[in-house]
Amino acid sequence: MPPYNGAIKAVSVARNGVGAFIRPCRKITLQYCNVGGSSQGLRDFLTQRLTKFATKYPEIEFQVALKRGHPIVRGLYSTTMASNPAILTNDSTKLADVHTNVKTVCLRNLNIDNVENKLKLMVESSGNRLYKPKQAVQSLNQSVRGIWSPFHVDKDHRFKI
Amino acid sequence: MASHRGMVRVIPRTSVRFFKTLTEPYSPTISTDLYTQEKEPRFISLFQNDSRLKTITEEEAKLSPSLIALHARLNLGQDFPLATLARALTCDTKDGQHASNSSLSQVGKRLVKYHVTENMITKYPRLPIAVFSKAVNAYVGTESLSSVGRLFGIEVESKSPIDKYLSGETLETSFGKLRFDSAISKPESGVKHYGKEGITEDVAYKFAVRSIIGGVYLHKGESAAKKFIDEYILSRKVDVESMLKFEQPQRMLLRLLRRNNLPAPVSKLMAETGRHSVAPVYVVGVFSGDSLLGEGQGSSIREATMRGAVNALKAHYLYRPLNERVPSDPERKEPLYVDEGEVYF
Repeated sequence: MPPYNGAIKAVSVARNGVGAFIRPCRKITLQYCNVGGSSQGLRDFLTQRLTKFATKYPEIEFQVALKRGHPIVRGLYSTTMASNPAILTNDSTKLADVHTNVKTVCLRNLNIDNVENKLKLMVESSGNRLYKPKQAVQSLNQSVRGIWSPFHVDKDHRFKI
Repeated sequence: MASHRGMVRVIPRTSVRFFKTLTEPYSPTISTDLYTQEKEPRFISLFQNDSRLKTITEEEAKLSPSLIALHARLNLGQDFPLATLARALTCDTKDGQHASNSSLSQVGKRLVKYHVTENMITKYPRLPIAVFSKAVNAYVGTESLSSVGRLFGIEVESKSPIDKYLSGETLETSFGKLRFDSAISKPESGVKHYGKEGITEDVAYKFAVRSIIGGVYLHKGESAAKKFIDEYILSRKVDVESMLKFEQPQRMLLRLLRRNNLPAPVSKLMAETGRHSVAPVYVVGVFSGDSLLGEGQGSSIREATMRGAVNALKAHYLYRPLNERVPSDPERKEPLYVDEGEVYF
């Protein structure tokens, strides 16, 4: 019998940006109303600035939808497994909606500049749910300093009771 | 050619022409060359179903916004046609009208595996073979590649044909989505499934990623394909250290040292605290001659010794040479170092 048997299975973890960076935001839907006053800012944006904005981000698919009610911007995100807290917590109930991460923001009564700012926020977002990190630094790697050990301190400098 | 019986017997079983139509007059042609003329049409008819299969044209592909966005997201450039990307997202389906990604995927599969294997053997020349193959699989396996596909932002075509018709979607919009026959995991009792089984979403994603890599290779060349694999697959993290598993570490270390003509390992207690308390801690060093091979700590001397041996073995098997250039890199001059492998007894 060999003195070791087998190996433990592993799956590689994404590190978006280590090789190439893929923008998590993949699609943005702008929903506006043709008559409502709350859509005025978005209507201005659609007629004046959308073309320029969309050309700047060719990797994002822009969709414009006409629907009654307040204007809405909806972002669809592809999520990295490592950066998603739902994966990190191994909560199987949260896993279902990981692949179609959606972020929705209401654009009611916003003027054209505010609409653009909200769109920039959608574009730059990771798509993850907002959560409070428990540590100041989150990393897949171990600490380069290692863990302090009292046994490796020189005997003369050890704490004596 | 005198006897008719003799003629019938030599007709190759791979002949398509003979079985094509019933109305066709019976006129067997004798072909002694089974593998050149006759086999090819049969091969195509088997794997592509029939000649109705179309290839997605560039003009059709340009009508899909999500396809154009995906093309830009992956930085594929002008050399990579949208039509190839659309084909890469088309898996084999029962009622598929378009040529599938099966052949592209085969090219991609070999390329990814080759490049990842080459990288791993250069980085870790001493890994035990079981760990090595699992480490390669950690990059190129279904779970890994499907995760890459999801990171690419490839969308799954989930709408049924009737839903697409009702919402006024054209066929072209679905070119930007991953199209496959979904496998039924649990058929109802008493229902027997005939014909080709579908595939799971993960497998479909895997095929798509492999096909995109195959497409990069075909259109942009080998170095571009390798760069693509470096950026999107080898950039992922695999913790090889946590994959090693030792059943009898001390015994294995002894064999390893004996093979390399080094003194047998000796464990020495280096530090301890709280021997008579409920939480004692021991630090044990494993030495071969004068050199410290590994150090372990534990709540008993036995545990600490075992950890010390494990750390010594890890230090050996996880050795990484300074020159990490792969053999296919033209700038690598000297041959690759590959270890003689693990010890058995």
